[in-house]
Amino acid sequence: MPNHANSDITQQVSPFLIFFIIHASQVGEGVLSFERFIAEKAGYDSWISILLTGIIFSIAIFLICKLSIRNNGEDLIAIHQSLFGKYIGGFFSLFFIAYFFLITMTVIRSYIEIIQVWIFPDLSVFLFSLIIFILLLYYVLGGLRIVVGLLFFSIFTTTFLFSFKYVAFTNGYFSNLLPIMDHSFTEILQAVEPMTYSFLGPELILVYAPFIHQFQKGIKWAIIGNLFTMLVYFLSAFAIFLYFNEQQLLQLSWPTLHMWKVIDLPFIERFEYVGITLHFIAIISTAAIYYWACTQSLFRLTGLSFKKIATAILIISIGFSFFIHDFLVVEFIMQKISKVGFYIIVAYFPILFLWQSILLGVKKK
Amino acid sequence: MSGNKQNLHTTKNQFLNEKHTTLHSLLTYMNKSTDFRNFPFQKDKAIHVYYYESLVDEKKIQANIFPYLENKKYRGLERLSLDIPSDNILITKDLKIIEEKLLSGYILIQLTYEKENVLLIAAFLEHNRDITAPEIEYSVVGPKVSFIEDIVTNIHLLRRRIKLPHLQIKEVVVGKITKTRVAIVSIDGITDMENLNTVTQRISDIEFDQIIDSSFIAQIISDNTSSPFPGLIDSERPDRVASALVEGKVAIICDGSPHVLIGPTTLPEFFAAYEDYFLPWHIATAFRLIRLFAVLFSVLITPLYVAVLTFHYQIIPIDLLGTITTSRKDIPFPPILEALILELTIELLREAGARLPVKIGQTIGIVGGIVIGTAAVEAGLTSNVLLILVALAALASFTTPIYRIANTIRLIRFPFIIFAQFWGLIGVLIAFLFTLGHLLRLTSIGRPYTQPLYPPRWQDLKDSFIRLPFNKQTNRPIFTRAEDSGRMNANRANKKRGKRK
Repeated sequence: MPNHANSDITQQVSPFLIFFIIHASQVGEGVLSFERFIAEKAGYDSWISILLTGIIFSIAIFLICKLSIRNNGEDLIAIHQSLFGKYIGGFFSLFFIAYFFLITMTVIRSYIEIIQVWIFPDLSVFLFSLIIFILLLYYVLGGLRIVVGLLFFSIFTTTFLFSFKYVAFTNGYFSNLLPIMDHSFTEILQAVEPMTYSFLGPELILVYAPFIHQFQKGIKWAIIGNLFTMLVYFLSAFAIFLYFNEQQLLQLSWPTLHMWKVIDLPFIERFEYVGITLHFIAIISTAAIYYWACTQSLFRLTGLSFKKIATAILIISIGFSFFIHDFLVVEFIMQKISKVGFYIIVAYFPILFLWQSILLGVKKK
Repeated sequence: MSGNKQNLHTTKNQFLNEKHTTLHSLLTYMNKSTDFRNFPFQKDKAIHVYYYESLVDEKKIQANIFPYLENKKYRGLERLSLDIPSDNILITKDLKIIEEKLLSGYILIQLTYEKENVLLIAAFLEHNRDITAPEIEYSVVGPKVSFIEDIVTNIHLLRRRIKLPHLQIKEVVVGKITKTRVAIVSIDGITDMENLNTVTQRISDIEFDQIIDSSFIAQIISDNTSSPFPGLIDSERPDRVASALVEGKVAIICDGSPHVLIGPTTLPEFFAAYEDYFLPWHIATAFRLIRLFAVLFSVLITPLYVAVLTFHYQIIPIDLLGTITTSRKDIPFPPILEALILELTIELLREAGARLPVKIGQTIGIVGGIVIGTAAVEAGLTSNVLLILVALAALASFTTPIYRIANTIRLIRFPFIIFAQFWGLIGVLIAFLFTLGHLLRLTSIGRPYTQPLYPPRWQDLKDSFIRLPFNKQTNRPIFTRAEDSGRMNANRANKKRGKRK
């Protein structure tokens, strides 16, 4: 059985695997639909917002890694405790745990929505999410190494699927992009916020930092992973913008799925069925790492048994999916979470960083 | 309740704890068995001889030992032992040793005047079959030698290939009743001590009463005993085992078994035939990739058929859809039932073929494969498209060089089919992810099973699903944690001479 409390060498992963963890935890449901959200704000100039978000996240990742390193490579729970004391720190940690939990839920639930719309209109949400959460539990109980294994393999499928964006470059219209820069800078900045949802994932670094062998070496891999995500999103958005015109794009919930429809392979007629299936690996891996982070944080906070916590979360999640039938509620939670995530990255972590710097300065004197 | 438990504890294997306190009682006890021989020599019965006729080569002792006992008077055993022309000889009074030696083919000589000490002389009766060509891991090119049921011969085959004093054998006796000899083989200076200690500890701690074959050991000591995937490779090829030892693995030889266990092992190794090393590297790589494809095909094709025909017929291109509809139009069953019927038929044929004698087995194969297959299609019970797919899948599952993994592959298909019936392609994916999770969690002697894919060891990839030429294999695999990691110094290799430009 893996030892979740002590991150000894048998539980740790190599620093370059952060590349895979970051990329896989970022790419989830968002990559199928983010183009519409950003185009709503900044039209076809929103590709600039993608680059901007990528840069903001790279800085955030640097700050997050420094936060951990300056605290002897410890995790979020320990950082909160040392910065705010046991009770206030614990409260902040609890807030993060709820955040991780809600992300796990919404990621799975929103993909079930896609499956219902595209493949099985009368899918039993309860039974299906039960199986999915049992699958997630199976990975989470194996410890971080096993979860990272899933993330590692998921990258290959998402990259494979991403390569099918080529159809846009052969069938698209470059004139769609013109005129460039007909949106104001504030509009472009506004598109950063909806873009954040697809970039969320680096906040988990603070949970898995103790499980990285020679964490210091991992910083560059984390940033490279984030830049790779940025490149993937940039090219995705570029492809979608080439293929659909702006008015049409705003009507499509999942532009990527619509684009897969035109892919014509000699042995597969409707590629979107295969695409939705394969993309499910990315969803499962995103959910798995958040599920693990939620369990691990709660485990570090309360000291209860890891297995019991994970099982309790499973039961709560099943209950959650049993009572919330309405997808509008899920979408509402998703938008709120996206906002929370945005502020965590651009406001909370920088403030935490400053607060830590002040405390360290006081200690030195 | 607790008293009952105590009782159980004492009665278990109690007969093994009955110790004979005197040599006399031991010998009388053994004499109860009719194959135990006991007779005196000389007029005054000065010398007594005891042995099991089933374990001793009687011709040998009649020719070499008995002539010395018939006439001459001996003062003591020492004197006698000097006369007898055998080197495997000892004098002892330890009852435990006496019992053990008598049961392994020694004869016991006792002098009436010297009751305490006895003389033990080796006279083993050896019945071994000849060393034959490998049957399960057959290769067209390369050596045609395989292990046999005798542990000494097996060690001999390994020593012939690794001529180093560093090749170390550690013998353990396991199984309370069978007292099977098990040899743990490693190379000093290459094999990781941690691996060796783990294996030694696990084997010496075996509590089972009978160890008949090496597969008993494999099942008992593997990390996850309830996994369908084998935790250790079993091979009948001395070349494969020798090569594994050089790579830094540990080999386990069990007396009475022609299969030697190798560990730690990884998943890609099950798809590597040893013949791959006898072929040029690109051809070997192509074969390995074919095997990988065969395994994926074998596991996935029937579930995909069920998934696509039940839920996603839109995926099929329009021309192919025509073919499939024609072949399925008279079938009264849904795809899942059709698939299960055919899969079960194939399993029945295989099981019948494996249990029957070779010649009848072949007939059954023809009757089953051709007659039943054609009849099922003509009767309109199954579609011939599925018949082709299932037969191909069964064929593909036998491309793996290690037979054990073929069983696994054939059986994990069934949960996939059931998941496919529930959620179509997504169900197949969920089943796949469960399998992946299981594989990621598996370890072999504490080393991850999915190496070198995950954790990624780029260096080990060159001898996994692909095989690069020998001059690129400069290091031993990382996952064995070999103490000496270098195979060769590539810089020191001289250039080939005599090459024409």
